[in-house]
Amino acid sequence: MRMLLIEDNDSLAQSIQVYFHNEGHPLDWVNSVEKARSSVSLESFDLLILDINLPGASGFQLLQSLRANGNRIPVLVLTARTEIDDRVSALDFGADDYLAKPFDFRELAARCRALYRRERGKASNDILCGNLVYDLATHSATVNGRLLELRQRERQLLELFLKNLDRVLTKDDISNRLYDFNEAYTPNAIEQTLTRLRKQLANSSLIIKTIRGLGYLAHVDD
Amino acid sequence: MRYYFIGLWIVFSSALFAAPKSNSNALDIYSATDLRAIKPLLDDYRARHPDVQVNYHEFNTLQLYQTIKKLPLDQQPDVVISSSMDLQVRLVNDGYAQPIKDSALEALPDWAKWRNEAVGFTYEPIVFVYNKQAFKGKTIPRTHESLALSMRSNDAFYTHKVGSYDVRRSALGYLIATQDEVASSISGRLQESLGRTITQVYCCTSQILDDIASNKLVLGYNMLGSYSLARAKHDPRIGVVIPEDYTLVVSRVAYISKAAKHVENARSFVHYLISKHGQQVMADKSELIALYPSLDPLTDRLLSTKQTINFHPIPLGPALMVYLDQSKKKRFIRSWENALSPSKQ
Amino acid sequence: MSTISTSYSLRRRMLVRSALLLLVVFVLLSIGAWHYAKQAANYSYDRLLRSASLSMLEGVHVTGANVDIDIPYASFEMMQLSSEDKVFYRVQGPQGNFITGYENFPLPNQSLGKERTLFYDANYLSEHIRVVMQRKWLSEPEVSGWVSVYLGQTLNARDQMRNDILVRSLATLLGIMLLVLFVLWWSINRALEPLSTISKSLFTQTSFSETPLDKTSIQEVAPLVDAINEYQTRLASNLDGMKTFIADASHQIRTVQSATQAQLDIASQSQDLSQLPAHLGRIREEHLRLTRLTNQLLSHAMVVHRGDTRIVEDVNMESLVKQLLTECVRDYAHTEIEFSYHCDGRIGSVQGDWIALKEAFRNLLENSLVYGPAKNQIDVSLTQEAGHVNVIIDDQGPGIPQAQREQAVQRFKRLTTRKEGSGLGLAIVSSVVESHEGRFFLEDSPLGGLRARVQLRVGES
Repeated sequence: MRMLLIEDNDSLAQSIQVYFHNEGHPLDWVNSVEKARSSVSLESFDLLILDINLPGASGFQLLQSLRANGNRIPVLVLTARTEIDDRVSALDFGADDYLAKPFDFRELAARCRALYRRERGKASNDILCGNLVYDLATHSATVNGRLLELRQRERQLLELFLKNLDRVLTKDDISNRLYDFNEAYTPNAIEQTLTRLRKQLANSSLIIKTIRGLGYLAHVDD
Repeated sequence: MRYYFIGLWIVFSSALFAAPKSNSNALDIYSATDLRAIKPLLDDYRARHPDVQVNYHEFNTLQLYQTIKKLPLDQQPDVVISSSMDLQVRLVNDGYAQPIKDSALEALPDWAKWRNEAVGFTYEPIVFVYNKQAFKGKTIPRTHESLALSMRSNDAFYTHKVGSYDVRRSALGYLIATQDEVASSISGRLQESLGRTITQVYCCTSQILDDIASNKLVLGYNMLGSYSLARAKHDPRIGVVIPEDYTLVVSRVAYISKAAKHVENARSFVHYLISKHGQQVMADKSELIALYPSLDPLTDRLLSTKQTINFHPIPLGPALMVYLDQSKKKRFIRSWENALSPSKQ
Repeated sequence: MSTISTSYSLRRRMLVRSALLLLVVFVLLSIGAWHYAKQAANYSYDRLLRSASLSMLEGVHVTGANVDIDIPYASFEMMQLSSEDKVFYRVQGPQGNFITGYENFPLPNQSLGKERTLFYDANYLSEHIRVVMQRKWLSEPEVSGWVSVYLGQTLNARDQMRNDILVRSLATLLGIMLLVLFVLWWSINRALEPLSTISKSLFTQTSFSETPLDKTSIQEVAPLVDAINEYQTRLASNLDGMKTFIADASHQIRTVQSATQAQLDIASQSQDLSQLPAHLGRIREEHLRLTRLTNQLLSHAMVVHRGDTRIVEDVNMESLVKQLLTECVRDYAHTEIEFSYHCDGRIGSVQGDWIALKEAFRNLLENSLVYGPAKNQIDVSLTQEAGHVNVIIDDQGPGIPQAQREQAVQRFKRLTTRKEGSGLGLAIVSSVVESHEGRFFLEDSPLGGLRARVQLRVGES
C-alpha cells in the first residue's frame, strides 16, 4: 500500500510518516497542493491522505481537479475545521472518507486499510475485512485462511453485509434481497440465519451489530 | 334733456382760468341747501383744498330728488345733500350711494347715519316762528297742544295768518308733516285747526319768514329751525319757539354717489362736513346748526335751558320710506288737502 | 435582531396624531357651525321679514273694486331691527296688477300653489336680497283673488349675525380644542414619565448591577419593570454560570495539561526503558481527555453561535436520530453495548438547526456511552404527543442523583462529583434545546440508569 500524505504541519506529517513506516507501509509526504499535483502525475499511489486546510490552494481544489480529470484514486480527507461542515462537503467533493483532527493514528491506519481493501477488492473479486476474506467469484469466505462452512442463506447474508459495511440494513432490506416474493419468509428466519452466521464469524474482524427496532449494521474491527 | 334749475352755477375756484386740468380735480355737489347758509363751509373747504374745483348746484328738495332720478349714471354728481331725509334714504336704498369709509362716522349718533352711506351732518329743530308785534300781550303757544287750543279759540286772530309748507311742493314739508303724524297723536287735531284757520302754504322757508316779518302772517308752523333762528338773529320782528312737548329734529343728509367721478374729493368733503373742524365752522359762521351740540352755541344753549325740551331726531332708515309709498303718499296728501281745503288753490 | 429603520418620538407621534384628529374634528365642527350660524341667522331674520310682511298685509283694504294699501309705519319700523339693510317691496293686486312699491321687483321663479308665505333669494339693484312673499285671499263682492306683498331685504344683518355666531362658536371651539390639546399633552407626558424614569435609572447603573429596579404602582408599567428585573436576574445567573464555566474549563484543561506535562517529564527522566510504555499510555490517556475536552468546547461554541444566528429549517427527527444512531453503532460496534431504537408512529418535523440538534443528541448518546458500564444497554425512542416530539435516550449507567439533575441541565453547571466530565455535554444540549425553545429533562430510566428527554415543538412549515 503506497500512500501520499499532503499535510503542511511538519511535525504531524513526520509522525504519520514514522507511524506508517513502522506499520510497514511506505508513505510519501508533500506540503502543498502544487507539489501533490506533480507527485500524483509522476508516480502512482494507492491512496491519498489529504489535509483540507493548506496554505495556497486548498485540499478541496486538488480533490476537485483530480475528480474532474477522472482520477478515481481513494482519498481520505483530514480536517481541523469544525468537523461537521467539512465532513459533508468533503464527501460532496469526492472524498472517500474523512477524519477530524485530532485523530487516533490507529483509526487513521484502519481507515486507510479499509479504503485500500475496498479498492483492491474491486480489482481482485475479493472482499478483505481484516482476517476475513470473501471471494465473490466462488462465494466462499475464509477467516485466517480457514474456510467457513456457510449455507446458502448465510452466504447471501454475509455478502449483503459485506457490500453494505457500516450501513444499517433493516429486516425489510434483508428479506427483499434474500428472498423471492413467492418464498415464505419470517423475521425469525432471518434471526436464525444471522445467529448461525455470527457463530461462524466468531473469531473474525467482522462484527454484526443488532440495533433493535432499527436493523443490523456490519462493521470491520481491525 | 331739460332739468329744473333754480340752481346757480357757481364756480368756487380761483383756478378758473387754469381750466382743463382742474376738471379732473373737481367736486360736483348737488344740494337742497341755500347757498347763503352753506357758503361759509364751502369757502373754508376751498381754502383748505385750493386745488379742488368745487361746483355747487342748488335745488329745492323735490327737484333735487327728481333730477337725481332722471340723470344717467355718468352724469351723477359726486355729493348729494338734502334736508329731505326720506328722499335721501330712498336714493340710498335704490343704490345711488356708495359706502363712506371714514372713521369719523363712528362718532356720529346712530340716528344720523345709515349703512355708512347716508350721513346727517346738521341738527335742525322744527320750530314755530311768530311775529313778535302780533303776539304782543298774548301768550305765545309753546307746545303743539297749546297751539291747537289757541288756534281754536282765536279763529279771527289766526285766520289767513298762519303759514306752513305746501307738502305737495316741498319735500321737506312733506317729511315734517308725516313725521309729525308718526311722532304725535295731536297732529290730526292740529291739521284740522290749520285747515279751519285757512293756513297759507308755501314752497320755501324764506318766503314764510318774509311774510311773518311783514306781519302778513302771525305764525309759521313747522319751520326749519336753522333758517328761522338765523333770520331771528338779525330780524327783531321775528320770534322762534322751540316746542316743549316734542321737537322734531331734521338732519341734512349727504351721500357720495355710487357713480361719483371724483370719489376722493367727495370723501374728503363729506369727511370735512362731519369733522370737528367742519362742524365748528358750521356752528360759528354758517346759518346751519352743527350736529355736535357741544360745538354749536345755539344748540348748546337750547339743550342747557331750564325748559324741558324733547328733541326727536328723525332717524335715518328704511322706515322713512313708508310715507314715500305711492299709495300712502296719495292718501296722506288727500287727507292733508281735505284738512287744508280752504287754501286749495 | 431586526434593525430599526427610523427612530421616532412616541410623545411627538401621539401629540401630532391627536392634533391632526382634533384638527379634523375642528374642521368638521366648523362646517357644522357655519351651517348652523347661517340657518340661525336666516331663521331669525326670516321671522322678522315675515312679521313685517304680515303687518304690511294688514294695511290692505278694498274700496269697491279698488284694492289699495296703507302701509303701516310699524311694518317698516320692524324692518329697522336690521338697521343697516335696504328694504324693497312690491304690492300686487288680484290680477297680478302692480299696486305700489318697486315696480320691477324680482318675482319668484317657481309657480305658486296654495301657500301664503314663500321665501326666496333674489338679486335686485345689484344687491343680494332675501324676499318673503306674503299674500291673502280677497273675496269681496267686486274683487276676489290673491293680494300679495313682496318684501325684500339685503343680507347685511344676516351676514353679520352669521359671522357673529360663527366667530363666537369657532372661538369657543378653538378654546376647547386648545384645552383638549393641552390636557392631552399633559397626560401623554404623565403617561410616558415612568418610561423615562426607568431608562434614567437603567442609565445611571454605570456597569452591570444586580440591584433590581424599584417596583412601580402603575399597573401598565409593572410588567415592564418585572421583565427587566427578571431579565437582569437571568443575565446575572448566566454571567455567574459563565464565570464558573470559564473557571472550570480552564481548571480542567490546565489539569490535563499538567498531568501530560508531568508524565512527559517523568518519562524523559526515567532510566528504566521498560516503564516507558506505561508512561506513554498515561500520556495518551491524558491527551485523549484533552482532545475530548477541546472538541466539546469547540462544539459548544459552535452550537451557541448557531443558536445566536438562528438557522431554521425542517428537521426530520426520525432520519436525524437514525443517522446519529448508525454513526454511534458503527463507532461502538466492537463493544458489547446494545442499542435499540423505537419510534412511536409518524413523527413530525421540527423547525430548527439540523447540525445543532444532531450535536446535542450526539452528546447525550456519548454521555451514555462514555459513562455507562461496558455491557450497557442504550435505547433511543421517539414519541409525539400534543404538538411535541420527545427524544428519549435511556441507559443503564450510574445516572445522576435526583438532587443534582436540575443543576445538571443548566448551562455551564458542572457536577463536581463527576471527575471525567467536562460539564460541557449537557451544557451543549441545554444551549441547543434553549435556542429551539424546547425543554430538557433528566429522569429515571426504566433500564435502571438515566433517561435524558428532550421535548421539542413540532413546527408547521
